[in-house]
Amino acid sequence: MQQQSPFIRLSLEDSSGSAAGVNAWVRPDSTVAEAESGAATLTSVVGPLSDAVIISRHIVYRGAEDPRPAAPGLAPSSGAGVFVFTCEAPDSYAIVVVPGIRADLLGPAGPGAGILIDLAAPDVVAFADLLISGIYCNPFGVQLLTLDSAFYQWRP
Amino acid sequence: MAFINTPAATLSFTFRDASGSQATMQINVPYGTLAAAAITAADAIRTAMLALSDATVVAQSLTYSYFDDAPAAANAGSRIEEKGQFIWRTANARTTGFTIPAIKDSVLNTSGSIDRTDPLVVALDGAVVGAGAIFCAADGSDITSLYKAYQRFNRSTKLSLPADR
Repeated sequence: MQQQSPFIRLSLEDSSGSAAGVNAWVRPDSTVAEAESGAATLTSVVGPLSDAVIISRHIVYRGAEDPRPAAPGLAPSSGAGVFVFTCEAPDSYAIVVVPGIRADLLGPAGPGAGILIDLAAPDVVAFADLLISGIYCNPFGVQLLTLDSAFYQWRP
Repeated sequence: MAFINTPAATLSFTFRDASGSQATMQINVPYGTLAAAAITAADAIRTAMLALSDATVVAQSLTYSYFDDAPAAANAGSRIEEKGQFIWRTANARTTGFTIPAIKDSVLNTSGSIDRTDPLVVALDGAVVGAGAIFCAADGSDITSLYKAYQRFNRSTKLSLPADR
């Protein structure tokens, strides 16, 4: 994965509700704190130049494969594996979707045949362990605790 | 009005299958995670996901977001299609640029060029080029000076036309 220069995106909204952005690249070695400071500075000088209003700002670190590798199998990307995790806070969950789920990970027998993902499959166990033991969290910042269920879903 | 960060930063992965179709997957990391640590985490989960998928990952991004919790109203009649185009020289003798939507008419010359002596434009120039600035071109080359600045108009899209037309 080749890391590209990070960039700051300011999102502006005009009086009709339409949105557009200002994208400004920052030095490749910029930390989040430095980029945050740059984003605040850019906000302070771009805002007065525009009749639109700045509603959000984003700091984006992007990477791309070059050259693009070939897909290893034939499963379509719309056929996804949906993994439902319970998180550390009460009644808090995380849903992780893996596109192009391998068909051999789906249970072969029983009422969930072809739909439920085999939670005991070594690759599934490794994936769940990584998510639970790593720094990953749900959009509310709550860490993942256990994998509750996993199933196949067509997501066109 | 204040910009508030979201509770978590977002890791996003673009998958591409054998037919060329694409799909995305997202997972979060705590907002306070350093970019280097988050990218390391992205590399780890990408490897784990590739073991589950027949598709491959062609791109990934890490995004830290902030939202204004009480944004002011935009000035009446403002349109994002009216842009201020700023083009900058870079240290490797190339150029880079960005546009500012709904550029204020008060910073324009009668010709449609941008008045570089206007204090607001001078402030922008100082922020982008001045000492301590971290801005650069996409290739990482430092920005050295303002090359061109002018008003331009983008074509309206269906989404940017007035909703009550």
